[in-house]
Amino acid sequence: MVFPAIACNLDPDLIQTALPLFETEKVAALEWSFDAVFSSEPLPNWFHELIQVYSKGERLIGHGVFFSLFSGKWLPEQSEWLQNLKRYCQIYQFDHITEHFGFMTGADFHKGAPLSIPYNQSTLAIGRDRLLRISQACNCPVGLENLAFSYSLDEVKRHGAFLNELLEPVNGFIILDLHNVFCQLHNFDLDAKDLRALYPLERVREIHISGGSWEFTRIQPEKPVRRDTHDDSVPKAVFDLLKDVLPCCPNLKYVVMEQLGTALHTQAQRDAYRADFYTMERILTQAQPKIPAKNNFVPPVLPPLGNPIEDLALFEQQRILSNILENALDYQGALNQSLLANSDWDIEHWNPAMLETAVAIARKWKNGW
Amino acid sequence: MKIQKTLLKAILAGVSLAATQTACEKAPVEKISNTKCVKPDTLVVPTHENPPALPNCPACGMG
Repeated sequence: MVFPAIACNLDPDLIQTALPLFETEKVAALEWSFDAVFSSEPLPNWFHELIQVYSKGERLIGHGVFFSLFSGKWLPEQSEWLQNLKRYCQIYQFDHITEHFGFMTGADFHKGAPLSIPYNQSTLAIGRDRLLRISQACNCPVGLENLAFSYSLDEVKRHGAFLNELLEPVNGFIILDLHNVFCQLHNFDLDAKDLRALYPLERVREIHISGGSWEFTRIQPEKPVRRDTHDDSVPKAVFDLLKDVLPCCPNLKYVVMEQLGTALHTQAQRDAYRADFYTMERILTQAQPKIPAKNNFVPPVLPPLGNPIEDLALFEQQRILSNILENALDYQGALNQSLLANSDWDIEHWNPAMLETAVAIARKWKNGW
Repeated sequence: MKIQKTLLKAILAGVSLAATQTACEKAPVEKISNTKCVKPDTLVVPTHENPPALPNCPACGMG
């Protein structure tokens, strides 16, 4: 059974928009970014009760945003994040917990936006170690979402295989964000079938759909960059991707629609959100799997973990990159002169329009939210 | 998933109230009007009858 779900946070516009869906019992599962409220506790009664309904119904899934999986250095904020996760898992029963691929820019690496990292043995070891720690904290299946943003075509092509390697020791799963896929198809002129073949779709337990926006860059004004901003309705192309990929994901359990409340102010926007949900529900009804899932992604029993794996050289590179993206006037020149030159970051092959977009993303979120 | 009508009404009241507050308001701790026992003998989650102003959460729409 594949459950239609929405991403639901403490966001009055979003919840008001989704209320008719709740009233008519359409929302079969709820995805909650639990770490977005770590700093705004206590929760309103009614929100806690809403979360509890899905928790008790075993249809609550947790989606972390701020862990920063690939920070080269293990930071106090990561220990605190795990402690908070452990605490929340004693209050709410999550069917699984997920996080984002990448590391966060921003001064303390827990604000900002998730951006990519080099795919090498060091980042693989760090990512595996951190996923095991998340798994130990939550004691339920753990997954990672594919990243929307990439610097290069080579990175796009290697992303699925790297996710597979990362998730293997924890028997983890992939959230296949189809809008992120849509971004990459557009930004790197890829064919959907070619990209799909590069993902281990048997590892997909959750799919995201959402909308986004176009970013016009100075360096490539004729072709806007697609960004995963969650501030518009779901494009038809993303629904088409959903229809195409559903039969290829034998272990799929949830399809989640995401949109930010900042884009749900007008009646037209709210109507469009609900129409998108009904479209998603209709597609799922027509494509329910006939064979039960083979992998429930229950993690293995883990031995006690030692000290967190770190790579201080990677951490220094991340600090330099964050600083350049957030502050440098001549960011291309600064990169070329930096420690990242001629390294696994492969900055020599970064797409200039994507670099300009990374600058825009990092500057948008540098002070958190 | 079935949600009780009383809870749906509470949600409506909660989001309506939150919509009248500005995002930078912070509810002081003294406003906590009750504590709710979630799992007896294990944890107590403090909750609000009236919610604080709700942050506009970017969740993962950060790109």
